Amino acid sequence: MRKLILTLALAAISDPAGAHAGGGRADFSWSLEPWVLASLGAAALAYGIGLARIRAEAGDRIVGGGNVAAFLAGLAVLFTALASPVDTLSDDLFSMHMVQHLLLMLVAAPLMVWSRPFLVFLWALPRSLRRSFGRFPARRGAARALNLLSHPVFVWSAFCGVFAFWHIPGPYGLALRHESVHILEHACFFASGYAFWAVVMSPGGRRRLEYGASVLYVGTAAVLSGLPGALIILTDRPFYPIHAEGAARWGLTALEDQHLAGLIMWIPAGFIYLAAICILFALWMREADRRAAAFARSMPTLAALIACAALLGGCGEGTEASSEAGGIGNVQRGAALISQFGCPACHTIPGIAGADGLVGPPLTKMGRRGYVAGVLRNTPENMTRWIRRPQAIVPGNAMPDMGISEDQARDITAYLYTLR
Amino acid sequence: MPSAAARMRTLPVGSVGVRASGWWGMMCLIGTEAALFAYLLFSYYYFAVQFGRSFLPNELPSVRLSGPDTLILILSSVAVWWGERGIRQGSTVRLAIGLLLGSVLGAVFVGIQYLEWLDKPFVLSADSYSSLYFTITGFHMAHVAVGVLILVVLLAWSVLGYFDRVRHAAVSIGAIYWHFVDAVWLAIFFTFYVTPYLGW
Ligand code: HEC
Repeated sequence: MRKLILTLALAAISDPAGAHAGGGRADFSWSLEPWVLASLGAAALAYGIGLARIRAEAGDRIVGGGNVAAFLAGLAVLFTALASPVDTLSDDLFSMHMVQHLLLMLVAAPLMVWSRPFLVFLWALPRSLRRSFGRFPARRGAARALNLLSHPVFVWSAFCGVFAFWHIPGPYGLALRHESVHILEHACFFASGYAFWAVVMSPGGRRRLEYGASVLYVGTAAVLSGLPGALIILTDRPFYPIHAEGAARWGLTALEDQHLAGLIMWIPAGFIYLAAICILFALWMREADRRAAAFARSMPTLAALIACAALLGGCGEGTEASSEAGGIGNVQRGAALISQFGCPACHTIPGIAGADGLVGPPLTKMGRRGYVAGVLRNTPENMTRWIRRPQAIVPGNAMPDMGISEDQARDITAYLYTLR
Repeated sequence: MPSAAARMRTLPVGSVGVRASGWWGMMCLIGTEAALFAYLLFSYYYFAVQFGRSFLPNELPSVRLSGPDTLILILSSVAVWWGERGIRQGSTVRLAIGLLLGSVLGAVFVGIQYLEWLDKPFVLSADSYSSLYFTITGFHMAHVAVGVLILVVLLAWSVLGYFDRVRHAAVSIGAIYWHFVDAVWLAIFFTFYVTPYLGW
């Protein structure tokens, strides 16, 4: 095996003309196809416009430096995979093709998820279009379809299925022979990778899957997508005769090339999955810590309430019951947060001192309404979503994103739900 | 207003919601069974990549029986899903119909599978392909049989009125198993009946 890797490394760094053993010239050029460059350029332009608009209205709270860096890095990886010698070489070598696929699925896709492209692209649209597109995901049918399509079980199956399917010799050969199928193949890889990582990454703070389940989700996908790699390594028959000539140009037999590809599919890819699992695990532990701390902090209040209940009998019972409305959050804290975040300046809110603002609609009887802001069904989840990110739901409306945390939004929701 | 418990004449059966210990138990069972089938299918692919076309029987497996059979199994999943949705809205009748349809279709699936077995020109011990074919589909049929049993028991319970809008954890747990068995069949179907045509 070492000899094999050495050969490839040598082939890659030494003068290409000298490296080839078989006939033909080893091609080491760039493949600057116009449509690839045009689409990457268009994406960059749209992201730039959207970013400038978001920054002008909301500063860097929504799309921060980290997100922008992820976008640039993601773009660079896409460029490397699709336009650099990686692409040219992958016509010759199956192993390089594997590198290209992994770059698309496991590197470019998660970087792009972190850059929040849909949100930013939305802002690149003119205001009127933005409004109608922004409301689209909240439509009933669309919300259902999106929910189903982004369901972890579905996404997981699609990700593993797409990966395995395109490496079966039949479909793989078809993609190499027809450029359009090849483009479709790469689009499948990137799209399924994007959907896969979007389930476990939460640049917007809202997780689709809890951390524990996320670890299982990535772990099982890692094991499963190692299996095709194992099959490719464990055989003595070359599956992809289409690469025989190309491999010979780099001094490899088709079988050596194939074994190398299997190892790349198995080990470096395994490291990426492993890193993701480690990060998710660390975040999981941190969340558990934070929860424990929050619980400890809430203990004195609870003790005080119990004491109050003991002292005042019936009165205390009432306070306790109302302070955790339906397990959503803490009502008293919610009321305090409402004043603290300045909602009274824009809204008329019963029970909050000085809350007689007229910018937004009055929040009277909020607990009994059917819809939030006319677009989301009025559920605790949707209400907290709205309070945290009104701009993501109805872009351009007058209510700003205020950097409210999930817990704070829950407390505020709990208060609003007492208004019946 | 009398409380909900006071209004009920008999004591309720089962827990509220699906996150009962039975649900976790089912998840673990699905985990082990999924691993079992993953290994079985991996052995199939292992032989396939070692020997290529010569591993497969001369006459490639046809979808004449297995195609409709797959459809039947998918329909049975839909029926069970429909029934479960019914009980969530409080309709015991819809649940019973769904479970009945699901179990009958499941039994039909096993029957057709058996016909296909009889149809095969080879026996279990003929070669590596035949052993794998009978082992994998046999294991799956055993799982379907258990699933049909589960559905029948659930059907009996629902006729006896054990389930209502809030308490139907057993239905949800049984349904998950049934959907899992169907998903496994799709993987088996893809392996035995589709991949041979994808080129080796
Ligand atoms: C700068 C003004 C402004 C501030 C500050 C503001 N809002 Fe709003 N809010 C609005 C406007 C405008 C709307 C209507 C948006 C729409 O329907 O598109 C709105 C809508 C809402 C709605 C939906 C009301 C309905 O009728 O469905 C809720 C709930 C709400 N805001 C809660 C809050 C909370 C809680 C805060 C404080 C954390 C807050 N708002 C701060 C302007 C504001």
